Amino acid sequence: MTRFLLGRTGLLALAWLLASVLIFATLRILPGDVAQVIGGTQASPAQIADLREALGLNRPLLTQYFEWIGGVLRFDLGASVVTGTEISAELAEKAEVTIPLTVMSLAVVLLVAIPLGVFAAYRNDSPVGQLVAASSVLASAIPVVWAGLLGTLLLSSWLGWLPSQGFPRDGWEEPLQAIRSLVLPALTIGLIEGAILFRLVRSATLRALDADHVRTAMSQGNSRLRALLTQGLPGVGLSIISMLGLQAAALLVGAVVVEQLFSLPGLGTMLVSDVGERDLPKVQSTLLVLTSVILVMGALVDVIHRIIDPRLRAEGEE
Amino acid sequence: MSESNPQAPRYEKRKRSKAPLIIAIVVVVGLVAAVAAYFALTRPGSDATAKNEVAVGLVLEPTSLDVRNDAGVATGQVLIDNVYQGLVGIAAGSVADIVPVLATELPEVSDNGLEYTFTLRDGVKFHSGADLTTADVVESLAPALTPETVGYAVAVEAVGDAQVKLTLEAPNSLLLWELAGSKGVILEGGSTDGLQNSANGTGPFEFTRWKQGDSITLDKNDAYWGEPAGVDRAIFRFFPEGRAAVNALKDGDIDVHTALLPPLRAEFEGNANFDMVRAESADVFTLAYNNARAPFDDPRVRQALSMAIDGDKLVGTQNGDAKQLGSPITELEPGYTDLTSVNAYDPEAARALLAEAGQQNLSLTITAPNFYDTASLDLVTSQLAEIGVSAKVKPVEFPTWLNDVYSNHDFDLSYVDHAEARDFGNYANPGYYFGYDNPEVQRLYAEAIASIDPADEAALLEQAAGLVAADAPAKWLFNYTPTNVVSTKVSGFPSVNTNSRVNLAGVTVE
Repeated sequence: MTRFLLGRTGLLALAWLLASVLIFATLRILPGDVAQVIGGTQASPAQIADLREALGLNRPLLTQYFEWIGGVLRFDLGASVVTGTEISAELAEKAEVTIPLTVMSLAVVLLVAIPLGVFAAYRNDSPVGQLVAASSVLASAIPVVWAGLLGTLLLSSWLGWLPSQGFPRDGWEEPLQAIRSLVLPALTIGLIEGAILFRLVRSATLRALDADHVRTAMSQGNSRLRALLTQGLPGVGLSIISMLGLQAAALLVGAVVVEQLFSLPGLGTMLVSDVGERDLPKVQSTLLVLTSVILVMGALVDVIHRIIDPRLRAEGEE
Repeated sequence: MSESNPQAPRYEKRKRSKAPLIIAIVVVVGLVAAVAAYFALTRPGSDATAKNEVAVGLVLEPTSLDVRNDAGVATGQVLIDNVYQGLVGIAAGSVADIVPVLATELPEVSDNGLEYTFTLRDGVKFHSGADLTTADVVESLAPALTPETVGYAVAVEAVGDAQVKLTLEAPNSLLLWELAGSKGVILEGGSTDGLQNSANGTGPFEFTRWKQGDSITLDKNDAYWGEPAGVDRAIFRFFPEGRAAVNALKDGDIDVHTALLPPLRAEFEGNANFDMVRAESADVFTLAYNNARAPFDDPRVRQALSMAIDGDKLVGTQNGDAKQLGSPITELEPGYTDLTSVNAYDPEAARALLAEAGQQNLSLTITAPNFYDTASLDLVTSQLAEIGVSAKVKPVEFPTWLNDVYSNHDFDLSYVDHAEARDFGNYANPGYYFGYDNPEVQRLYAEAIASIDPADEAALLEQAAGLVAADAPAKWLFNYTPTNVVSTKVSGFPSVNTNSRVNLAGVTVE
């Protein structure tokens, strides 16, 4: 287990370093720079050149990279070129929207996918089970934007239960308003992502129902349901856990689109506007933080999977 | 109990009570109903309106609050007039008429037009609490008005305790216009330190908070030198998504939404709670030709393209939020005359001109920032197709447009909104991105700028505009006059030029 942990950590560090290089390099390919954005359509070429020099955009790329990554390793994410605010403070403020949104969407995903997935597999021969399975294909094909508009129309415009946009200016100091404003966005992402996880749960459960150990349990006098619950589902649970790492990444990407749609001041909205301003130090630090979160979650899922699934342990390991 | 005669075991499905299932269903349904009822009953009350505040929805958020150095139009829209003030400003209801603000009256100008003397108002304080002095004015204006920034030298000096004198080397009719804009705002000690994310001015509102990606909050300045603001708090909220802004207005989260997307007009038509107001502006949606590059260096090609496009139909694509234009000068700016008959819609003549120029099979690219509504560009491409020109729209991010088109002049046609008033000088500057070089226009423009009498200036600009219109360095597609949706509870919201400035000093809320 120790060797596994060491190896996994090494892999994580390597992936992280590679990601930082990729992020830095890819952003440098974008045409246009922040000096042009600040200068706009009234600045002369000389003024833009001066601004570029003052902002340090002319320094060699390698210097810029090492200054940045050195700072990040000392937990200093740097400051925005455009507004001068600390990036870490900015990230913390935006995370107040994005993290609860992601957690709420994940709750929706699990609540939708697991019960329905198990049900659809258990009742695979009945029309109801087939109908649930078919509608999941439909749901997973809906574009997020369209689902959001439909949800707004139904729950906000017609029923008037939920706000259709925005987040309280004072954030979590108004907890009820804050939660209310995240429900519709979380439902939007959760239902679509849930439909994808649903299909995984259903097929895993179908396999489990056919598995030898479940059949054996039934032959011992357990009902089909009981055999599934006690013998089949633990295996299904493992498949779900190994999917969750990927799911988290998908939820974050979903948040980017949905935040725009519901004008929520979260990380997604911030990233889009920062790219539009070519505030590259801020964009690269934000992306690196998000990448780190996803990498670490992926590694954690691996480790947890290994701890709870004895089949993955090597010979001689405990 | 006889072993020799075992009885076959009997299997029977255990009869289980359905009660737990029913209870479970009732509990779940009850919970869902309770949550729904909670949300239905706790809809935001009307306490927001009880507070004396106004919330305004804007499309663009400032990139930074540095009003002096940030060229984005949104920074000035929010901060100039409300937080920052200059010696002079723009009169309400106009786009370019100058009125005194921190000066007691318009300056005394020497007969040769070189010396402008301003008298400062008494009792003006910065939001920091410091008094406004002539030193603040000198330190603010001297670095902002240099040959690098405005194209001419200005000497700024204090005269006694209450006056400031600006001295020019040649008369310049644009000086007051510059002073009314971002270069003319008066900063405490002239310093822009820390002003990228904060603000300290002399206006009727103090800067309170910028929640990036969401809103800017301003509070009433109780120590204001003039008529105090009519509301205690003003909030600007930013909506990159036009649909979200419409929802916010209907939810009651904002009281005013500026620049409603034309296709969303129907949402408010006939709604008694809102007024739709068309705001005159100096915005010119410009389809610029790359005059320095073939085939656009041939005026016949430019004229042909301009004649292929029907200005009347273009106005239609904006649901009426537009006026036809025949030159880059809009109705409320000096030098305007109706030039829409010059190079007017005539596809026959356009085809003939292209044939004459030997350019029958033109294939062009229109580089356009991707945040604009594409209705007008769709019309442009289809009308160009009718004279045999195939045009392809290349939507790009704004920084890419700035890089390719504005800085590197690498484009065929460009589509962009020139929002600034009094920017005719771009047509007298061959280094500007569309590369239009006409010495006669440059001479007339220089003369106009150097004229001391506004009437002379207007006449010269009019003459220059006539030449430019005939020469067609660009097609001025339309003057955008956006619709603002204003709640009937709000009065005093500015009705003109809100794309550049939103002065909330006179706004009151019922």
